[in-house]
Amino acid sequence: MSIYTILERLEFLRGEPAALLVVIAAALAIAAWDMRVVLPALAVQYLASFLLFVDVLDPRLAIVYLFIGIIVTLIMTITAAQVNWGRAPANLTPTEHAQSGSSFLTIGPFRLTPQQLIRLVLAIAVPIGLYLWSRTGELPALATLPPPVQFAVFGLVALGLVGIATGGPLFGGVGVLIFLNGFDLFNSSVEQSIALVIGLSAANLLVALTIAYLAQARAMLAGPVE
Amino acid sequence: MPDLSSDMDFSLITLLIVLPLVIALATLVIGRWPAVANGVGIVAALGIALLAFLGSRGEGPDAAWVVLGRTFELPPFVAVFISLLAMGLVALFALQWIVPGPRAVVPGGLAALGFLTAALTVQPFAYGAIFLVAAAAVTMPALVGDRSGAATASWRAFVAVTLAMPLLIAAGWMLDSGQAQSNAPLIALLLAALLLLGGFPFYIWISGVAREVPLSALVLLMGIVGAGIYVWLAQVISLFPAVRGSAVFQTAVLGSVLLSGAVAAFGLSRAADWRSWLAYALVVDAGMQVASLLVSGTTVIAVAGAGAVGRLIILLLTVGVLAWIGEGQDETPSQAPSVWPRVMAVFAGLALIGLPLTPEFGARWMTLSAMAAQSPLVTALTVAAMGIAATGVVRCALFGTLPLAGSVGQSSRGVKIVTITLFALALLIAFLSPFLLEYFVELVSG
Repeated sequence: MSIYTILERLEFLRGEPAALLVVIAAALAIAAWDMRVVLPALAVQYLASFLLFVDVLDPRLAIVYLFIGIIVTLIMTITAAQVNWGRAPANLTPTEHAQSGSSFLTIGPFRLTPQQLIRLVLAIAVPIGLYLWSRTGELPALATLPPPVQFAVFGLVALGLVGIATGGPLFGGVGVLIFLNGFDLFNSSVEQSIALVIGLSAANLLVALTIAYLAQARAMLAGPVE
Repeated sequence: MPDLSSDMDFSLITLLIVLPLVIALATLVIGRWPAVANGVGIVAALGIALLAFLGSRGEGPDAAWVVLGRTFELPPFVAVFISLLAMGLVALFALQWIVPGPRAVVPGGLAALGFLTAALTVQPFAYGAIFLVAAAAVTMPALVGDRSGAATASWRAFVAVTLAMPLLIAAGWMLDSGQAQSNAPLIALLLAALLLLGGFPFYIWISGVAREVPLSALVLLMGIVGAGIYVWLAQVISLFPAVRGSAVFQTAVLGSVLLSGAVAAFGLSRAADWRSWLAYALVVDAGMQVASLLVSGTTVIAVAGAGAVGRLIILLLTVGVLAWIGEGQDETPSQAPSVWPRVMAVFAGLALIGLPLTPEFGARWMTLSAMAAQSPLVTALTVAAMGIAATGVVRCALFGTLPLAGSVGQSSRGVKIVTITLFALALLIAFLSPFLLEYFVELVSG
């Protein structure tokens, strides 16, 4: 089965549905506070963004980004498993909990830190705001990007920044990866050189490895990861 | 499908990029014997310094390398600068022998040097941004050490470099595609510069790492990698005189410098320990690095080179001074530092602010001149902020009783000898500062 056969089968998802899927998956990855939800969302985002990459890049180059996305998700999965999926260790004593400085807000059955709440609100508000803005047709033009790709680029970059601003190495790291995915999508339409695809793919891998290292280091030294 | 052919001829630049990376891997393997790894690191860095210096004189193999259609070239100034960075690594590794630091400093330092060489030599410049991310990434294991605060601070530093990469690539594309008239490339370049150099409002990562990370790792990040980033950024800015000449860019830079100075002056007047003191002195330095981007023509590269060398030697001296007064040693009863480390601390602090007769003065003077040409009022206010910061430095280091974040203990004779040697070297560089700047200007202008 070639790339082109797969693309033919996924024709119904190309364009606007793929863009919406990318942004919704990214929003879920930013909003969730358990890596067991974040990681599948991140994987879906990488898979769906492949369908947008092929709109602006040779499919044989676009698939490099898909492979990198899969490897990055695997790296993050292994890391998340090693740091208790981003939750406080189960055997944390009340004293250790108090020392970690985390304050919680209880909303229904959920206990959220203020940072998690802000992330949740922004992860819902940003895609809705962006969608409404794009409906007005006044979204600033980015190079010669097709409108669905443009919508996805704006969504990924904005949601990535929300993640970076509101999280530490693990959850903020997911924000960096989402931000970079948005940038890769934008850049693919303006420079289609193999050197840059290799360079940016290597950068994505290196960033994922660094996030993994810092998240583990922080978890080992300080307990709960944020 | 793009052309995959490439010319992989052997050249000096191949050696300067690949050799440090290979030796970094070797030192990682032998890391369980820190003294051996340090020794290998010193020999390797000396060799790289010599190779780069030969390259600056046009000797040795052909100094160009083409990979996937992208060229790596070694202009004389870059060769000399890489040589100086390698010498900085020699001093850092030698210091590690006497003041033990994280094992990852040696492999991290060598790998960072390889990536910085790639960043400084690759054409077009946008690819350099990717190598800068790699250089920052390989320093992370050294930065984290054994403190959770260091992991968070290192994370912020890494995010700053990573976010700057797409901004720079996008700015490069916009400028190449004739969008130089719009404000978008200008804003992208400006944000990238503030993120990379730690200018206001992105100074948080600088104050964080200065407070939390092990000192030798701080030299690695702020002295070695920071120097490479600074000179690389100056090279990029020199390519786009229209960006630097725009009123928006100049106003934003001046505002950032003034606010960095104000934050640092306030922080230094309230510094409660040596690390906070160092952090705010570095914030002043970062602000002035941003300001130096206003220097016109290719002189900006020479100013960046001289400033980076000055900061490197001062950070090395600071490691010595803080080791002298006992940072990182086992708990012993607190005692006030003696006169010598206090005097050297004052010198280091004033040098980071850029007062006369310190290593960064030559570069600082050019920077202030460039600022004054844009806005005498902002320059005067910045100088006033620097004055307040300098007063804070003297008050804290000379008359204050600043405790260490950890404890104060006895230091060895070796630490004292090395620190005094570094102090003498810093004084020599301070004396030679105008000549160093002149030499760099000549090299840059070819």
